[in-house]
Amino acid sequence: MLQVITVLEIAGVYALLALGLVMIYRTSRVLNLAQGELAILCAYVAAVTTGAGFPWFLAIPATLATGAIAGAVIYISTMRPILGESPVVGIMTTVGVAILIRGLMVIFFGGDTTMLDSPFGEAVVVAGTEIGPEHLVVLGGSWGCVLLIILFNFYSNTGLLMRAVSDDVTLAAQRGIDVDRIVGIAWVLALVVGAAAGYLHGQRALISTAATLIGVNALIAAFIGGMDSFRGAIVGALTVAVVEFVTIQLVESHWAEIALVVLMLIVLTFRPWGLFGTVEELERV
Amino acid sequence: MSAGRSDAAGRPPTLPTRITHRFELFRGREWAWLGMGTVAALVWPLLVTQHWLHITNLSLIAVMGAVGLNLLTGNARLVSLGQAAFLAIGGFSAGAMAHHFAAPFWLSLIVATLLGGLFGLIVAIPSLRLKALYVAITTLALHFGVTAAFAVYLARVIRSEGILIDPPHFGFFELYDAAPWYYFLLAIAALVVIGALNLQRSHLGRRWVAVADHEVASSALGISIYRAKLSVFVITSMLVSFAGCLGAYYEGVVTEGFYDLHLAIAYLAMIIVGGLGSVLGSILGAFLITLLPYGLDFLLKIGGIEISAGSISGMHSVLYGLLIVGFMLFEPLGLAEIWRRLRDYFTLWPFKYRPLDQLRQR
Repeated sequence: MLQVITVLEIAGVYALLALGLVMIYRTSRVLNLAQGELAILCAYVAAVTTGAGFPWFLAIPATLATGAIAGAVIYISTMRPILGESPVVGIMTTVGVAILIRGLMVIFFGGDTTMLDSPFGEAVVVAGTEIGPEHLVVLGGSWGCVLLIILFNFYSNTGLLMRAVSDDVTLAAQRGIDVDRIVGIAWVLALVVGAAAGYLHGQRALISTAATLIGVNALIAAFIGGMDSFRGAIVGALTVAVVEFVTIQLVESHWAEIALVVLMLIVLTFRPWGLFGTVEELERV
Repeated sequence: MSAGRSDAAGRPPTLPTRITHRFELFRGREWAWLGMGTVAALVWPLLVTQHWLHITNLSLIAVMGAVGLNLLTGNARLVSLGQAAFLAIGGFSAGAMAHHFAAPFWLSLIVATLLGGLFGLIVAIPSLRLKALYVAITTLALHFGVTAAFAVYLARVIRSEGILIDPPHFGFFELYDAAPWYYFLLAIAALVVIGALNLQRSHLGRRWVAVADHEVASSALGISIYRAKLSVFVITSMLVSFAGCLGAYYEGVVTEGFYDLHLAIAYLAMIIVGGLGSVLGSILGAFLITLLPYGLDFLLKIGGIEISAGSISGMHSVLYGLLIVGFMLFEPLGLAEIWRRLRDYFTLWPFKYRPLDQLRQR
């Protein structure tokens, strides 16, 4: 029981980050390598605000707002100027952003390791097992957010526009969709979701600069599932969480990373577009 | 090549029957600059302190790694985040060879180079079917896989934080002091630079660029994409692993913590700041990025500012990030392009453009 809950918690955090990556990739065809760094930065903000004595209903909005502001700043200052350039430029710019944020974390938070306190204090008994409050927060928070993203993408007007932009940018622009605005919204939303993932990660594990590894695992999840598929991101996150958990239980934590890498290389060798991704067409001459 | 001009009697020009190329690496004035540069490089150890000579040596090792990465990322346009992993493969094969077999220097170098090529092949195989985007993630994954594997190796087999490596011997001569190392590294770096320049001009280097520009078009021209991608991965990984092995011998120790993602990003910063696809850019970037931490410390010491060691390493990261993003957005061709503009400005003054018949020289 507890094992299942742990796997679902890890998977929830990865799914949130991977969904953010997929959202960004679908609209702007940029691979955001700074996702993990941004999530942990937001988690640090949460740790500082709760540490200063603010209650959780103020700390959580502050965390999400940090994500939103970071998304807007990154999009306007770095991504808009390179929109439409080759993916190489986008990747390298996000690498720059990632190392920049890592440096800022070290300077402002001293590379401390902290944990977040749970908003609720009481354990709940489900099916004869006692489940701590933090488990409920992480489980409910992460999968609730995943559901919200799916609903937003498939049942809201902006979600429809986002899908249009991801299908065909040129056609979408010709039909009068403000592509710039839609891509901007996608970046902001993706980083708000990333901030939520950072907060939830802080509920169940340590926050430190080393924790930015969750971004790498989310990348692996998104690649296994297929970079342009929401379904794929969720399936990929579950796969990564199961593999990671089982390897840590059976062997040790170092081997988890190796197992994930091998898994991803196998998937990419046989299905380069991922489990649920679209098969990309060859570029015409 | 005077075939294009009509002669004094006004007869029409004859068509050239043979095409001759000018294949010399350097021309007149460039030989003079090269000579002055060589002399300056040779007397350099006499002019500076041991500390700065050590930094120069580190820069020379960085030049080799950056040249390799720039061939892969700048010319073939395959973004590699696995630079630290390939350096680690070189470093750890040096350490393992020294620890288990007490192998001589040259044997370690060969083994490191071959192992680097093997791992390059392993990463290249999935990337054959993938676009540039996916190569970044496979190499990033390789980074975490390799560093985790070496952490396991250190913990289980060596049972220590790192492996000590004795300085290399040549007969009775031990390569230990900074000055002999400097001449040794300078010679190898010069060979690497000349080799890379030639590689860029060879059929291999031009194929890499062609495949990077357009895969379909270049395969229609008869270029094997498979061979191009495999060769660029294998050759550059061998070079980087070689540099990693030299670096490990120079430091005298290999630890797992040294080869972190920060190192891979520092190398990316070198080639972006220096200039993607340019050997001169790799050299400029390698020196600048290696100097950056020491320069910052120097400035802080002069300014009398006391900052904790943690904040300083954070500031290094912030500087790398700003440099990468800034050059990516404002000067994508890097310092090499700035250098070219400056040189043109001074050599062409008072004119702004080259005369028409010289335009194709560059």
